[in-house]
Amino acid sequence: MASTSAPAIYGGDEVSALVIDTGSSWTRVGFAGEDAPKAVIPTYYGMRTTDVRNESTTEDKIEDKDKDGDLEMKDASPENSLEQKNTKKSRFIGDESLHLPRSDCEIISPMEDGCVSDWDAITEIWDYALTHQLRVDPTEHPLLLTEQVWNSQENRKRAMEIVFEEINVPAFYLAKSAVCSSFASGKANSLIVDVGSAVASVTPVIDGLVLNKPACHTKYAGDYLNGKIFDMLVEQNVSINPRYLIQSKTQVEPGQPSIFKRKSVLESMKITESYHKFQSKLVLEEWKETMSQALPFAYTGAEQEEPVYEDRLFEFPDGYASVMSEVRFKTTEFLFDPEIIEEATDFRPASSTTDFIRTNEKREITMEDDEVKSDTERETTADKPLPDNTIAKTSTDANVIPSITATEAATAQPSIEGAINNEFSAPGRRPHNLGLSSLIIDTINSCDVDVRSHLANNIVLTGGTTLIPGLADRVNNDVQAALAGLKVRIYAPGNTIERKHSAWIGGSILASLGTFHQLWVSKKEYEEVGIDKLLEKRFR
Amino acid sequence: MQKPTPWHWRSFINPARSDTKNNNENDSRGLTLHHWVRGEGQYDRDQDGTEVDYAFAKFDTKALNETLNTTEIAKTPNPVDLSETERGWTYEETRYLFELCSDYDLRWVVIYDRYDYKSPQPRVMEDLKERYYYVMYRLGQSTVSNSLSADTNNTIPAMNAVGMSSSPSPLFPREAELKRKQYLERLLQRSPSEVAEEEALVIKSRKLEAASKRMLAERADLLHLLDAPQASASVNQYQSSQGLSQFASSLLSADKNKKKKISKVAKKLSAKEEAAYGISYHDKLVPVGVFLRSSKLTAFKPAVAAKVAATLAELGVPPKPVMPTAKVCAKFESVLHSIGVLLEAKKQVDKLETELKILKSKK
Repeated sequence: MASTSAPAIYGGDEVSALVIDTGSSWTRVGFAGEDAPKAVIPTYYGMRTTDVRNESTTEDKIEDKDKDGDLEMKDASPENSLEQKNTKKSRFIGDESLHLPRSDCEIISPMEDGCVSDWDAITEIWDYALTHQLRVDPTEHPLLLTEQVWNSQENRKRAMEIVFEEINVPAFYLAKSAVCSSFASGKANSLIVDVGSAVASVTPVIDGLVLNKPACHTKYAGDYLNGKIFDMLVEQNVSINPRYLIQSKTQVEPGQPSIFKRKSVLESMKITESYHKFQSKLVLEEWKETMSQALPFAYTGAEQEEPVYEDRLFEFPDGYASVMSEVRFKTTEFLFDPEIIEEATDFRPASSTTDFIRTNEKREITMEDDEVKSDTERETTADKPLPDNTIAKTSTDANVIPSITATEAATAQPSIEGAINNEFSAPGRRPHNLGLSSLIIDTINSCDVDVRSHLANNIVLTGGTTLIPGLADRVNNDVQAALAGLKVRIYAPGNTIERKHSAWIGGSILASLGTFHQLWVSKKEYEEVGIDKLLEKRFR
Repeated sequence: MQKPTPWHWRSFINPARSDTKNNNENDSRGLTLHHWVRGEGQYDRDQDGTEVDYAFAKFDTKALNETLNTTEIAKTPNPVDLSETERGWTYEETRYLFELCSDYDLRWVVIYDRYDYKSPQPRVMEDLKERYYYVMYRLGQSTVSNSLSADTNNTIPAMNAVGMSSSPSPLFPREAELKRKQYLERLLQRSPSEVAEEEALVIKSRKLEAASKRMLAERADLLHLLDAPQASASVNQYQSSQGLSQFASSLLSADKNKKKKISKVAKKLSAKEEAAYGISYHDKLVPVGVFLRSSKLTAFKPAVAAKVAATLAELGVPPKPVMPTAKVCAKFESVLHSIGVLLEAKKQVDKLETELKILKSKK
């Protein structure tokens, strides 16, 4: 509130703006000028479609029974329902409500490739965040939204329409999340390396403006790692029983089969596959957050000393515990070399980077191969009977708990969206793989030669996946080795809040600056000037 | 005690906003925002209580002068000039470029990144810069020739003569810039080993530089050392032994001052070299100062000395060495010593012989 305490230095002037940063897995909402978002809610929703003709009363009964069974379930959850012909659709939003097991409730993400794909759902999520978490009247506050660099024009139009017509804000601004991250780290020139859950992106920012042509992004990010961790666990014959299944568990020695009791209340419910997957993902994420570690250098095997793998014990929610060492590092390695497994299994020689065109052709072929390969792998893993280390499995087939298959991994189809436009198309300039380090190197190399030193000197790591221990060192080593002529400096704040929510924090800084207030697009402008012109001229 | 200053929640309009600027004539106002103001605030308010000025409005600056933007190009008397077909530039594309330039305040990296015009040939950043500076130059030319009389045209042809004939833009060295970037590119493409090698070479050259500097300093010291003291007074004062010893002591004290520097210069000589240069080391400084080596020769008792001198004369050796080098002196010393010993022995023998004779004669 006290914005004028040191305006000469900070140039701050707060107009009580709101900032929303919608990420692939988390949506951050809060007031501009604060140093952390007030509310962080999952960017997922539960969707239950019930046939209204089929006596909705029975459904309600089941719901009641559930509530009797577990007191915690009584937590009031905001349910937004829309009537559609004969079916009733209810959305469940927010941490408390999302994780509650419900019959026929699908967990859906409204995001695709880091951008919004389901606008109705995202509007509800924003509405939930603003009215239930922040408890504000959005018509009184200017609103700053973040968007990805590769956001489509239709998406931006839609965002503006919703913001002005449904949320009804007085003023609005659409900021690039890379620019916000850059401001959050206090830099006007930087290379933003954002590794989130669905997307890993590398974006150069010059004078607070993104460079679109060199920017690129891949799907080799947190979710892809989850898939690889799942594959690894399947290989080790570990079955994942998420927390929601477990009533009680018994302590067992590491390596011994788990002994646990399932929640009996679930037997009468029809848990959907997406819900089970969503809950299993939490286990994989916990594994990732506690176990994953990055090697300081790429381990190629030849003429290299075998790295020292540190042992660590992981206890699964069902009580099964296991000591892991090498896999902790090997799974992280997929972030840096997404094709590593295919190469290893096929005994294919490493693709040469001597010839630009050949490398490219080869790449395409291997990609196709990989897809086929991973498909067959998926089938085999699905066919493979899981080891029965789950004892208390009741014979009732009523509660079919769908085992999650490696479709997690399927979310990560090798594709590179951002056109890597190369001005000086030297041979071997394209990333020889789509790993994180080579993306960074390639992006720096495709920028104007005069700004490369600024970029290499200001590499900002952000996004939750970059919190993997050793990742910053690894990126530093890789990039420095490839760009020997430049001085590489990695900026990776130790504060996890800054790392996870940097785009929001930057938006918060931006929207509380006195000089920023001339950039807001007012509702009147929206009505008078029109969307297309505003998008072209005002949000750059 | 100071009275607490109240804070007010005030609405304000920002004069820097385009909607505020453009809507001045009609009644509607631009975007009105609210903020907290301490006390009465520093700006005037209209009848609604809205502040009509804003502290941050003054930061709304543009790199490009408003008068030099696209409207100016349109007003140029001879737009044909600007659509010269060098590198396929058209009037429309030029306008597009100038819009970007004013939008992005001449940030060329960004302008080039956003440049998305279907031009007949691919553009590099240097093309854009060249075109921009060329058009600016021509604009300046036309305004000058329009506003001033004909005689000022003299300056323009002069400028033309500098570069116009060879390159379309006398202001932007496109080829040099491209070349510079190529060199820079090549510089950045060095491999880690090349960079390491280069760094090692740089360190080595620095070391060499430092060494040569040190050598020069040492040489200067040596030269200084070799410089004979200037003869300022007459030589007479040094002709007496007292004067000489005074001179010696003054040299000695000067030596003491220089001692540190000298010790730095001195290098270890081999025995052979020492002999060659006649250098000897003394355990302790001789307090008397300068002396003649021959004066240090062993002196015998007067009785013996005569005999020694006789012996030397007998051997054909002068009583004092003619060339008293260290070696000669040492040899001479040993000769003297031997003579002394032999004389003593002879004396003893003589004594014994006489005693023997006396004893024999007593028998």
